[in-house]
Amino acid sequence: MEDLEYFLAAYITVWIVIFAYVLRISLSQRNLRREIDTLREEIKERQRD
Amino acid sequence: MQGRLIDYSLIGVCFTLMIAAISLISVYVPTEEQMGVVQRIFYFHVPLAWVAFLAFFVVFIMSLLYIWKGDEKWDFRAYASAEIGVVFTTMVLITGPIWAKSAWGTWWTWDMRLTTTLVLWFIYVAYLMVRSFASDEERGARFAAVVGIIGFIDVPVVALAIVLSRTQHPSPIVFEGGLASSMLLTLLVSVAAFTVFYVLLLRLRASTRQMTSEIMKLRQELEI
Repeated sequence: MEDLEYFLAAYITVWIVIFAYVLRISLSQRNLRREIDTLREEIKERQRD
Repeated sequence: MQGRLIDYSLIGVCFTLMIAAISLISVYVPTEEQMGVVQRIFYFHVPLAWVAFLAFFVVFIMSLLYIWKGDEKWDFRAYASAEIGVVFTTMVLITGPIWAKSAWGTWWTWDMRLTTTLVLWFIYVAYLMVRSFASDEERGARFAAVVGIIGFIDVPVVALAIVLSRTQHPSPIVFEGGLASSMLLTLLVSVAAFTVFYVLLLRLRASTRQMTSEIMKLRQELEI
């Protein structure tokens, strides 16, 4: 029974780390994409002026 | 467009392989007689270690290419791979002691395999710190590339530690042919799943780095 607890502890830890890392990458990609769009818009507006 | 297609294909393959690996680990593979259920940690501890080694090998190659060619795309890939390698080595350093506590009765022992793995983790954490603290992006990238090339020396040391020294760590049973076919199949599927996952992460993380660089260029354009 104790063996199962160790196995589950390792298993759950691995998936928590993986999900946290993937979430961090996807959130930062979303923010960066927004920032790129904003900066491009600003450049376009300046060129128009 | 082609890049997106590759990403979605990789997600599909990775998801299928992960489901197959989880099913094999949970249901198909027999419980090892001596160690019991805790031995199943082996089916993700080994693939995690394999991906960490692969990631650091990619850092080594990309760093060489960056120093040789000077193109920042090699640096983006080296940085992305180093970060993934550190994340995977962290998981190796977590799952290993959990198994060790059950099998050896202790969380940690300072034998060669474990110590060199910890040193490997510190080397690539240092690589990431060099990048974070460098005031000049290009100088930081070059300095980190040197760390990435020299740091790779520790990878074969970690791999050969169980052959070169007397260690408590289990011997390379896979290469000795001591693994039952069902166990070998489970391990290979798990290795394949984590390898595809690494490729996917590398593409995503390198593109994030590329976007950061694009933002810096756009900001410079706005300042002019």
